[in-house]
Amino acid sequence: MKEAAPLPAAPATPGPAKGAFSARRRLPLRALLLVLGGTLAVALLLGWAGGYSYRDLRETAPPGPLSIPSRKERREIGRLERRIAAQAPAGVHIVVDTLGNRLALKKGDRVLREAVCSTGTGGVLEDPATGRRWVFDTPRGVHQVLAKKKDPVWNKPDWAFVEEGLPIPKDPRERMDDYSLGDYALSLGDGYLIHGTLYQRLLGRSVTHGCVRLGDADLEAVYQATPMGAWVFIY
Amino acid sequence: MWRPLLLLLLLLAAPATASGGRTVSLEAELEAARGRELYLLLDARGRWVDLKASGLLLRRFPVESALFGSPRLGGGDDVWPALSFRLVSELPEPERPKIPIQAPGAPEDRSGQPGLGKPVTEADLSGVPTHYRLRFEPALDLSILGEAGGEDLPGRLWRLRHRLMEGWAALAHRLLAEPVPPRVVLVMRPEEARRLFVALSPGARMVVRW
Repeated sequence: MKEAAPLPAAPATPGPAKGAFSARRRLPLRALLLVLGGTLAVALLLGWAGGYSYRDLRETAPPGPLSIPSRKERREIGRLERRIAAQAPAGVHIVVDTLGNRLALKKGDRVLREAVCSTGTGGVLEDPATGRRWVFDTPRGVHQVLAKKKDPVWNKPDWAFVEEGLPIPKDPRERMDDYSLGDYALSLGDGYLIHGTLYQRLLGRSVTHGCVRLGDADLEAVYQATPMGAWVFIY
Repeated sequence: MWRPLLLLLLLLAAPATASGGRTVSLEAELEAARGRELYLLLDARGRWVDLKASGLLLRRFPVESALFGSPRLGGGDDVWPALSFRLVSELPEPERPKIPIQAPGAPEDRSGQPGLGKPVTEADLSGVPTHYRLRFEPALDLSILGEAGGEDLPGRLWRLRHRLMEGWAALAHRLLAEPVPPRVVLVMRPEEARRLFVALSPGARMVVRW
């Protein structure tokens, strides 16, 4: 059998040059990059132009005209400063730092006593039966001592039973607790108290249901020194 | 002969303060001090922010640097819109631990509940933002940047992002014919920024002390 002659090689057909092909592919890519870059540049330009120019706060001016204070204005400024200072309590008052769990007993600018206290957990308790919800924050703001009690008896609210997994009693006598609050209590209203604690080890920590707890000696000093109606600042 | 010269010297020596501004600012603070609420007092020279109540200083938050921004478009000037403001931003609800319900009859736990009652430390405030923006009325934006030792990387990124966003937002306001509020930027230490955030209450008043 005769061997078949090899087929002649097909003539090379003229195709697109490699460079031309790449250029054609690169063209839409370039256009895309150009559009994207342009959009970004416009966005940045708009962001810059539409934005703010900043200067040092000291270079600012209050509303109204600038002027050298006259003697009358200086007197008015002095009078206003005195009136602001007069708003601060001159007598005994209490300042509570809830973040640092510190209480300061003060008279005017003078600190009479500093104490470690416990304030609210900031936690939340939910009653699975009723869906009621309590948030245990120590209320920040300005309060007054509305009542003072020696050997206080705690009328336990519903949440105290819910937290202990106990049914809420129908008999009010079952709510009475004469040992948890310590020897003294100062009421700030709405059920919030400054009182003693069984948990002395936890002073300095945020563990309460919103009340401010103090150690025995500090509580006695605060109770003795603080008159009714004294201001309590909680922040 | 000396009298006019002395008068002139006195006039030159007197600081060209805004006496009207000082009076207005003190009147605003007096009103705030009379109210039964905590309020903020921002030093117009940008040295501190005070938390006060009834004129009593409760805590001072030192400021490391302070800037006043006015809109670039529309020829913003460096004049405060007012000296007494109300916070209108909604503050995010903090993460609250859930109090576990004890099993009935279980012995009373006097050591405190697990997960609760730890001493408050800087680490406990790690969830509190160091960079945030507060909106006040009359219209004023206050940006707090809690940055240790000047501009750190998160601060730069925050700033870059917010500078662009504030620019676009301002443009959008302009297109809608809404006023663009001036902006105050306070840089303070991160822990101070966090503590200031915690001290804020909804609707809090801020007075600028001139």
